[in-house]
Amino acid sequence: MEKCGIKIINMEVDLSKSERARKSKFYRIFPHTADLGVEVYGANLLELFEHSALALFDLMANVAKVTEQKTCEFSVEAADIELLLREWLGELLYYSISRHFLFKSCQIEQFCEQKLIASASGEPFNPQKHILKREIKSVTYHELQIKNQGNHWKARFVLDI
Amino acid sequence: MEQLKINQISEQVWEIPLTGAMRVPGRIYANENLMQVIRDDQSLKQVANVAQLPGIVGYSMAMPDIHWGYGFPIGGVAAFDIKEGVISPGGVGYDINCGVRLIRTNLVADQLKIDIKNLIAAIFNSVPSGIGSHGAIRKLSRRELERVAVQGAKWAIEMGYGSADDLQFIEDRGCLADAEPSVISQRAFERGADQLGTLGSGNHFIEIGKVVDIYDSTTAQAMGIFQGNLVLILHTGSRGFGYQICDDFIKSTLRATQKYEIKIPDRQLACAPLKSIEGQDYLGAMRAAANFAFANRQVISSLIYDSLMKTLKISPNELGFRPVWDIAHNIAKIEEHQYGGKKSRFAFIAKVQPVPSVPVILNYQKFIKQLVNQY
Repeated sequence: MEKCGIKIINMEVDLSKSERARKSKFYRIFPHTADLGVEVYGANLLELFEHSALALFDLMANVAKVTEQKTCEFSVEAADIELLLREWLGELLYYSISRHFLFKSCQIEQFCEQKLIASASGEPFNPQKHILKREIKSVTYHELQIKNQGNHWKARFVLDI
Repeated sequence: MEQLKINQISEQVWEIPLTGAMRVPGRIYANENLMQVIRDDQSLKQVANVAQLPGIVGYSMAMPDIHWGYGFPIGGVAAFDIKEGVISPGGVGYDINCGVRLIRTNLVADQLKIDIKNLIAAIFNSVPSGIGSHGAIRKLSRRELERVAVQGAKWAIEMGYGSADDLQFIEDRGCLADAEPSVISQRAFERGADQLGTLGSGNHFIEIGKVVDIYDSTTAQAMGIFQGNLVLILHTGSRGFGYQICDDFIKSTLRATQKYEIKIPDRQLACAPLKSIEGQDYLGAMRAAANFAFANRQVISSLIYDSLMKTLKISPNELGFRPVWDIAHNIAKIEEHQYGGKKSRFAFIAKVQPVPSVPVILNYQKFIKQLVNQY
């Protein structure tokens, strides 16, 4: 965290009962006519970013069948926290599509409003083993939003499918 | 959601009057039934958002297939002054030159000598489809992809996919001039390298159809379409090549939006002045992606032809396979039009072209009627 040298974000994790429940269902799809609206919840910003990545993985393929054979490193920068979320998801999506690779988990190592260093683990796509759910063309900027809801954080983004 | 004021201008034309930061009014072409549906989502707000972009001319327009998209509404069309206007990569969308090709044949649908399932299986086996589909033809090097990006459908024909006669039935003969591969990222070339000739997923499709009704026999005859005719429809675009170009240029135009102090109501509408280097670079890259899409539909069309020939075991003359048209619906173009009493050049952004729009195509029988009526 300190290495970013910008603004340190509160990362304390103190989950209340309701927050634990939310964690078990950490995202939902919101209605959108042509594309896929995603709303993600997290106890803090760091968890929100991790949950957003996990939501993306889950929307792409049956993650239960993906094993963590290889870990990839990511370093992402952006002008503000909302753009940082889009960049983070955009990088994961680009890697996944261009390398025919599926992710299962991720770990954020350094994090501040304008920079993120993280790793994500998974394995190459295997048509005998994995089921792809949908083709995601891109993570759009439309209605991109991160909000502090008092006791938790909420992100909204729209995926072009 | 805030309610926008909508005035009915005529039976099928509605207007969003100038409000707030809107520079021009919004115009929606729809009947009362469609408007009831349109009011339920955020597409009207998106029409009003587009109306706020600098240099927009006349109206921020929406065609009858208007629905909630990202940035522009789907069905959105806008013209921008060439000197004062802007270009928005998010306005054109990720699937640059997503378009539709209609193919006619000499076949009578009810007189096929084989089970139609065999035809479907043959096409399915030769055209890679589905999520991340790739490998229809050999993987292309960057240099070859640059040729595709400049030549469009002509490249495919030179490689043996289809006939030079096909070009006359394709919008702009399957090639937009002034494509500029040098401004395209390595990432886009990587994503496009193994995707030429692939359908993709989502709402992309190849459809075998039967012409049920003919409303204008003269036009239908000119198009080579007859009652009971077996035809094919192909809907796809620039695949990962176009998606990545859009993604890259939204990022650069977000910076341009700040640099040129342009106020936008939605980041997806990030834009750059048409005359700026950022705007010109995007236009060059977008034309390259459009040419990739023209080549893609040409290759797929040729793969379909091969499948039909192999399965039906008939001569090319008996099959009579040729495009009727091939038209883009996510595109930006510079066009000359008469406006305000003089001829001027404008940049047009269309998310869906008015005539061959996807919802109409999805209802196949209606589509043919619509198509024939338009000729």
